[in-house]
This record gives sequence, structure tokens and C-alpha cells, in this order.
Amino acid sequence: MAETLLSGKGLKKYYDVSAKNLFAKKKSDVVKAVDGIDINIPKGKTIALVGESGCGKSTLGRLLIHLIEPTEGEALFEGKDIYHLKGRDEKAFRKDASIIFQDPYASLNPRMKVKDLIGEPLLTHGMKDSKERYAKVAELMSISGLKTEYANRYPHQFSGGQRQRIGIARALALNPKLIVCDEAVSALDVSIQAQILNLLKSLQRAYDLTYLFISHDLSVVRYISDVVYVMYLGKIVEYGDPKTLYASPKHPYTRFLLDAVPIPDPSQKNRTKMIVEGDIPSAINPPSGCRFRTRCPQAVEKCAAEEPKLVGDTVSACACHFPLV
Amino acid sequence: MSDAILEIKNLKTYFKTRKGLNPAVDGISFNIEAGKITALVGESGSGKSMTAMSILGLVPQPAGKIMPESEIWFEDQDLTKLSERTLAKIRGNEISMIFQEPMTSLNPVYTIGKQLMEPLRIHQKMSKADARALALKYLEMVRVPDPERRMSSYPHQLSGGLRQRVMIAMAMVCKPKVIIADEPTTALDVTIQAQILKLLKDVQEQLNTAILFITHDLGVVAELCDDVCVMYAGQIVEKATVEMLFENPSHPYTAGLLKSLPRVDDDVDMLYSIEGMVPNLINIPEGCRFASRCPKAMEKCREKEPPKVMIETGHEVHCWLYE
Ligand SMILES: Nc1ncnc2c1ncn2[C@@H]1O[C@H](COP(=O)(O)OP(=O)(O)OP(=O)(O)O)[C@@H](O)[C@H]1O
Ligand SMILES: Nc1ncnc2c1ncn2[C@@H]1O[C@H](COP(=O)(O)OP(=O)(O)OP(=O)(O)O)[C@@H](O)[C@H]1O
Ligand code: SF4
Ligand SMILES: [Mg+2]
Ligand SMILES: [Mg+2]
Repeated sequence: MAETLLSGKGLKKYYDVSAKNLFAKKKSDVVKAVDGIDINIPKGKTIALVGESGCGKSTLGRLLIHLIEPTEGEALFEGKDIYHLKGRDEKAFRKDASIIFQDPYASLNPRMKVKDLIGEPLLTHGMKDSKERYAKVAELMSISGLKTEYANRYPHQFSGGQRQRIGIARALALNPKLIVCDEAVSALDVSIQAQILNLLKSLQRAYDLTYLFISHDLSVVRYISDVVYVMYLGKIVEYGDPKTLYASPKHPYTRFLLDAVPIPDPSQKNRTKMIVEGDIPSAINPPSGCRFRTRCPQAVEKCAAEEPKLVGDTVSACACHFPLV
Repeated sequence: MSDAILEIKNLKTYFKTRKGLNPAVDGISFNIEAGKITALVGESGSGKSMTAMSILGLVPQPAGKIMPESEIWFEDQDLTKLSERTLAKIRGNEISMIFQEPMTSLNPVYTIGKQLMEPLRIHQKMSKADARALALKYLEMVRVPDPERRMSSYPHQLSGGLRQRVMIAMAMVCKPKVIIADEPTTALDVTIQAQILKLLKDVQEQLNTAILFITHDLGVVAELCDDVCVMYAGQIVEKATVEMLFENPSHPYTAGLLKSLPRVDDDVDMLYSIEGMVPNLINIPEGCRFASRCPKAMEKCREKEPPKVMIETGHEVHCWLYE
């Protein structure tokens, strides 16, 4: 087992979304975006977070690099609690952890040249000498597969895939140990997606990077990750290595999620698959007991009365009263 | 081929831009048959939506133009030559559409019931009671829970999945001969996508409608469709039945695309990847549009437009390799 780089314990993030209207009936509405999650991220590996829209993936990702404050819980990076870092330690953590977003365009300042966009984190962390900085930028550009002669161009002069390469170059600028990739390839076309996924994989090998890879695409996740965490309404319902998890999911939700993925092979189109009924319930008043019970075909009274605990070991675990065999 | 309900012949839809002429759809031909689902698959900007818009007579004006040599045959009429008034009667009645974002075609100020009943009242001159009964029947058919209550709901009160079901009901209610569905499940979660695809297939089989299904997801093509046209940079590069295409992908672009897909049912160490990117269509050079990225490109590929070769019955490839 690789050593742990980052671990979260009892992490919670609640958002108060009650109507702030004076005359409205007093009612407190709280979105429990992340509701008590333990997660372990080993060094040099890729941990994936999967689940449907709104289940809390981005919120958990942001908590884990302290872009937002937790409502409760702690997270240890190389043994130190990231929510109580000060001075030099805090600055070091900002260098060690970075993030790549889904929409590279929205996250890049349109009025800055590419060399300054990529150089920005270097500048904020004290690399004042522009010659030294641009030399580093050129290196980052070529690592990320961008022609260095494009250094003076603006973001709108690049295609979606190239912009994502700019995002990657920026994220790599401070030699991070951990990169959160939040739907980093979701907006890209298949042929470009393959280029970026391969780039991420080879960068990981070259620089011993650790990734937290957030995605709703289970095919991409199988390709890139070492451990997959499946989320549903703010909770982890199952985790395991992709090969085993995909071959024999234990949680009914994982099974539904996998069965729903279309397979590009017509000879498999009549395979038996389970299609889950209904929509995801609101995160404001999630169902009692097991949150999946309202859509689960095998739910019984116990599922409504008692919340299933995540049972397993460090390699895999599942939170269901009646796990699949 | 006699079953073709819609025949697209040499369709060219060009856009005038400040930088020059953009041949967004450039000489494509294909048929849509009754009772079948035909996929139009390709990457962003390849011209899928503009093909749909051309069929429906909704090409953005004045920038876009269907070129005079284009033909779109539907029931002995060339749609490209019809007046907007005649087209408007066909649209939403005999040819209807489902879009990616249902809110673009649902009217936020009217109830679901009113929107379902209106085309029946207008196009088919039905009484209010009859239209209401039929609207309810279709909401049941697309398995909207509690349809009575939903008739008086407004679009924003429904989830994304429910809205897409309502859209399907709306597209079906006039019993169109053709439905054009432009990425109807792209914005949905996979579990909801699976529900909607199954529904679409069930309803299509019941009504024997022809569907043109636009998508960029080859998984969805394999799962749902019968025939497929692969588009690249405004042209169809390969056309086949779904079985033939996946069994024997013959255009280097199709073959590369299939190899570069990560698989949910298999492990790979490194993905195959097609180098480079889609060329800019303005002032596109002569020859094959894929040549700059093609691992098999030959000299003539860069010089002359490749021929359309029938490599087996019902399997056409737009490539010099098979000449
Ligand atoms: N700042 C906020 N204020 C209120 N609610 C929020 C806020 N941020 C997130 N939420 C809510 O928290 C829940 C989890 O959101 P989150 O963005 O983490 O989901 P996600 O899994 O990343 O979804 P997606 O796949 O759509 O990106 C959602 O119900 C969302 O509406
Ligand atoms: N109003 C317009 N003016 C000029 N060009 C346009 C206009 N609308 C579309 N185009 C061009 O037509 C081409 C094809 O666009 P189209 O929307 O058909 O692509 P698509 O295959 O549907 O892509 P996507 O998968 O992103 O929906 C693009 O090059 C686009 O820039
Ligand atoms: S605990 Fe019950 S409701 Fe939850 S997934 Fe398991 S069987 Fe279904
Ligand atoms: Mg998110
Ligand atoms: Mg489109």
C-alpha cells in the first residue's frame, strides 16, 4: 500500500439555502452537499469520484484542497491539518495542491497572454524575474504539448483541447504533489479527450503526481483511476479498485450506474441491464435511512429506519444492508 | 432503399462569415427510413445540428444558406424549395424535433397540458376534450408519473429528465413520420439517459416512426440505432448499418475514433489518440479533410477530393484507400 498523501475524516459541508425573506414562513432548508465522508488518497495514485449531478463531487474536491471551509471534519495533508495551516505551511500547501476545471475558457482571463496566464502562479509565489519565469513557462508549455511559439497568444485563439492544455500547464507550474481534476475532460471531443487523458497519465508517471479525478463518465474513470469512490447524495456508497468494482459491484446504485453506461459494441446491446427508476431526490431533505432506498428495488423497512454503514477494509467497502453478491 | 421517407441529396449549407465562407455542411447525402433510427454522429462543429436545421428549414438567417444544388425529398416534395409557410405546416406535424435543452422549445408561460394540446387543436382541428384525452394518453405513454397533475404544471416545475419525457410526448403527439432528435440525452445523467433511450425506442417501435438521432456518443449509437452516418468537418466520411460500422470501421477517422474510446468493459494502458485537431473549414485546402491527421494519408489525399466507395452493400466510405 502506498503511503497516504491526503486523508479526509468526517467531512461535512452544509449550505443554508432557506429563503431569506422576512415574510416567508420560517423554515430552515439545508443542502447537505457532503455529509460525513472519510477518504484516503495514496501518494502517486489516482482516486476517482463518480456519481450523478449534484451528488457532491465538486464540493468534496474543493474541501480537500481547502478552497472552501468544511462545516465539520478534518483533512490531513502529509500529516498536517489543512484547515489550520498558518504562514509558511499554508503557502507550501497552496503550492502542493492545485486544480484543473471542466471549462478551461471560463477559468482563464481572456485579456491575458498565455505566457502570463501560465506564469501567474509563478509570479504570485515570488518568481519576480521575468526571464526566469518565461523560461519556466516555455518548459511547462512543451510538457503540456503546446507549441512555445504560441506564448504570446490569447485564450480565444486556442481550441478547447489546447485551452485544457493551458489549464494543465498552469496547474503544473508550482510542481504540485496533488492535482484535483474536476471534470477536466468532460467538455472535450473524444479524439481530444484521448490526447488529454494520455497526457495526464504520462505526467503522473513522470512527476509522481497524485490525482483526485472527478468525473461522471465511468469509462474514463476506469481508464485513469486506481480507486473509485461512488457518491450518492453527499455520501460514499461504495469504493474499490475499478476492475473489481466494475466486474462485481456490491451496492445496488453502483450496479445501476454501470449498467446505464452505453457500450460502443452493438453485439452487447441486448445484454441484461438494470435500469433504475425515478430521479435523484432533493439534497435538501434526503430520504431517511439509506438515501438510495426511494429508487432501490430491494429496499425493505430496515432501509428506511436505519442508515447502512460503510463496511469493508482499506481496499473496498460498501454501504448497504443487503449488498449484492 | 424504397423505404426511404426522407432523402437528403448533396446537401450544402454554407455560412458567410467575416473571415470567409464556412462550408458547414458540404455535399452530404443519406436516407432516413421508416421504422428505423438513423444516427448522425460526429464531433463538435462537424455539422450535425446544421444538417437538422436544414431539414427543418431553420438555418440561421441571413448568415446561413442552403445552396441551390441541395435536395431534401419528403413525400415527393423537395423541402429546400418550399415556402416558409408550407414548411411551417410540415414542421411539428409531419416532421418534429426534440432538442438537447427542452427549455428552448418548451414555453415557460404555458402549462404542459396546453402545450401538448395546442398542435392537436391547430394541425388536426381536434376538440378540446379529445385533445386533452390524447395529451394525457401520451404523457402516460412516456411514463410521466401522475400525468393528470402534470398537465397543469409549468416546465420549470419539472426535473430535466421529466422535461425530456414531455418533449418526447410533444414530438410524438401528432404522429409525425419523422422525428429529429438533436442530442436529446447529452445533458442528462447516465441513469436518466438510459431511461430516456429505452423510452424512445419503445415509443418508436409502437408508432413505426423514423428517427434521425444526432449524437457525439458512439456508445449511444451502438445501443440505440440501426443505421449510422459519421460526419467529419461538414462531410459524411462513412455510412453503414450499425453492425457493419462497429464490426468493420473503414474510414481511418472512424477507426481512430473507436480506438480512442475508453471502455467501461475493458482495461487499456494507453489510449490510441488521433493527433492534431479538426481543421478550420474557412479556406479549407483541396483533398481529404482528414488528411492532416490521417496515419494512412497518401500524396493524392492532399490533392484531390476522395471518392465515395461502396465497400460492401450498404457500407460507403469517403476515402482514397478503397479506390
Ligand atoms: N455555494 C452553494 N450554495 C448552495 N448550494 C450549493 C453550493 N454549492 C453546491 N451546492 C449544492 O450542493 C450539492 C452538491 O453540489 P456539487 O457541485 O458538489 O455536485 P457535483 O457532484 O459536483 O455535481 P455536477 O456533476 O453537476 O458537477 C448540490 O445540490 C448543489 O446544488
Ligand atoms: N449562425 C452561424 N453563423 C456562422 N456559422 C455557424 C452558425 N451556426 C453554426 N455555424 C457553423 O456551422 C458549423 C457546424 O455547426 P453545427 O452546430 O452543425 O455543429 P454540430 O456538429 O452540431 O456540433 P455540436 O456537437 O457542438 O453541437 C460550425 O463550424 C459552426 O461554426
Ligand atoms: S440499504 Fe437498502 S435501500 Fe439502500 S441500497 Fe441497500 S437495499 Fe437498497
Ligand atoms: Mg461538479
Ligand atoms: Mg449540435
